[in-house]
Amino acid sequence: MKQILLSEGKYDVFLLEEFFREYDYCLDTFVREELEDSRHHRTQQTKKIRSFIERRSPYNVLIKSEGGKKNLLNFFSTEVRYLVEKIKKVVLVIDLDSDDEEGLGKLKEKLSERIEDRHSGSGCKVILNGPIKRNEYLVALEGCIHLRGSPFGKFFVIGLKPNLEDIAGIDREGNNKETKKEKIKRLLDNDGISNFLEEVLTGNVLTERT
Amino acid sequence: MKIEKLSVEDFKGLKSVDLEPENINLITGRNNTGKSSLLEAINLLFNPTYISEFRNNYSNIIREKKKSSEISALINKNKKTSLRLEKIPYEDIWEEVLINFIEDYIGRIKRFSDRYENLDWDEEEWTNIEEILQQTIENQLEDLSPSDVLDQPLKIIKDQKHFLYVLSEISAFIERKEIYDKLKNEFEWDKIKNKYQELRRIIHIPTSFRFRDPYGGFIDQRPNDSKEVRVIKELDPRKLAKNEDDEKVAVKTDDIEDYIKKNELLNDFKSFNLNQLVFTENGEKYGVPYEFMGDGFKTMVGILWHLLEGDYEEEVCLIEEPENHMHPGYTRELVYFLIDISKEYDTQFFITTHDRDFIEGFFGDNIKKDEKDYLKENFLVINMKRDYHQAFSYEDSEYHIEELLKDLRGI
Repeated sequence: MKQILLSEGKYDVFLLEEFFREYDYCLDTFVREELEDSRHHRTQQTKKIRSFIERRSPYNVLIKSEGGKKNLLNFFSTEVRYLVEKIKKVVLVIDLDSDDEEGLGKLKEKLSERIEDRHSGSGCKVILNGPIKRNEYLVALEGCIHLRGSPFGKFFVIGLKPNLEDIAGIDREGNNKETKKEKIKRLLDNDGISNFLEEVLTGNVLTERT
Repeated sequence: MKIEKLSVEDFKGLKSVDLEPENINLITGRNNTGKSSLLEAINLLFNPTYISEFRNNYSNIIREKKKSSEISALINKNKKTSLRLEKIPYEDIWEEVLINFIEDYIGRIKRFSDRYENLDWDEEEWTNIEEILQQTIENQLEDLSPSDVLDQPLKIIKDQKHFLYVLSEISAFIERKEIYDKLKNEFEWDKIKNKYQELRRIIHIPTSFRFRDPYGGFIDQRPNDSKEVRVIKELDPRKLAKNEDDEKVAVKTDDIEDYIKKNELLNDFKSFNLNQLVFTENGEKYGVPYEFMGDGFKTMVGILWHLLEGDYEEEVCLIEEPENHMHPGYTRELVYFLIDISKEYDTQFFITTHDRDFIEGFFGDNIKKDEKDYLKENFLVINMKRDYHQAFSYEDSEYHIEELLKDLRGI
């Protein structure tokens, strides 16, 4: 089963990569911030996703960073319809920027609105259900896309409360790259976080074309 | 058969091309750099009658301001084959054209006459008619200037055998009324009046049907075409199926259905035949006419039809821009398919393209190790430029891929 995870930045990719290291998955990554020539990121991104989707691709997980929340929402709202059609499981990993219900509500509203706007010509309606799972660090939602009244596909959202850096205790200014990575890696020693990710990313919580 | 070396001199816009082709040869470059000309040169070398497809422009295939053009190849472990095209003076061919034309004209009248019951000429009658026709036509044509009537004649030398090729407007100079009148005067009218109406019609036939201008082609002898170098041109499987037996059509149809399923070319696909495709939605089956399918899909099916059953085994296959109309997803599948066919059936491909996705497909992440190993030994990119060309092996192409792709951009 193929799974794509779309996240904000390279440290999200690092966390997810570290998480999947424990499992028997063949993993590929695309980190926009690390591209040598970022002007051509669209072409490279298209190539990466296209290759990943192909039947003969050896990878079953692709983790991608978009270089910021704005880019992530932009890309996700534009491409989600194509992705849910082609890939069995689509997961958006995003900072909630708050740890209360209001932050979650705002995300649900914003996401639905952005996707529906981008696909308004095809009578698109997005319903975000959940939280289907939550703890003090993370929250999971299930999104359903309907086109012209018929269910079309599903995706998942993993929200970080309030964001990865705060959960990991990273000092944005004071910590160097290696320290940041070390702190993120240590997050997986936290059962609350690792069990949550295990259930959502490797469990039987599947999204299928309906 | 495999082309091991290829040389083209002064053919259309190509000044000089020398290559050592591999099994998969991609001919790339911008427009008007000679990609199609190279494909045509290969086709003409092995199938000289292909010259007729250039119609009245046939003599322009010799490069401008040049008198001759030469295409040659080493095949099957150093066996040489060559084709030389030479412009020759009109006068050198005029007599042969006249003889052939008159023979052809009279021969056709005889053949058409034989089909009409009341034109049962006895031998004497037909000999008289033949003589009248011969003399009348000769008189009508004797004052013509060859250069007014003929296009540029060519001598075509295929592996030391000489052939002459010319098109002309000669039949436009035949005055049919004079022919009827001569026949009418020559015979006692009562004897032939019943036949005259039919004869009159038959005299029309050569000039109105097959003899219409341009008249000509190969004079006297035609060269033989190879069965081992073929162009994939027709891509409609419904037309292709008409020339194949029912069993083969059934097997190919089934193969294509399997291929579509295995490679997931279509969503919700159930079955395939030459008229309809069947899909399922929410457990309900519905049909879509083949005609309604997208052009990219139809192109893919056409190529599968030609190649899937190994019809080009150990042959040379020429394809012009096969990725045309295709979505990048299909283009990638086409790349994998061509590699598989080349590997399995030892088919040698010459493929023109200026499609980035198609070229990149050969270097994509999903090329398997065995395919990559095969390509390292059997792949060539021929990058055509306005006045020259560059050939890149698989590894060189991979290294220079950005430059190759950049060359396809712009005007």
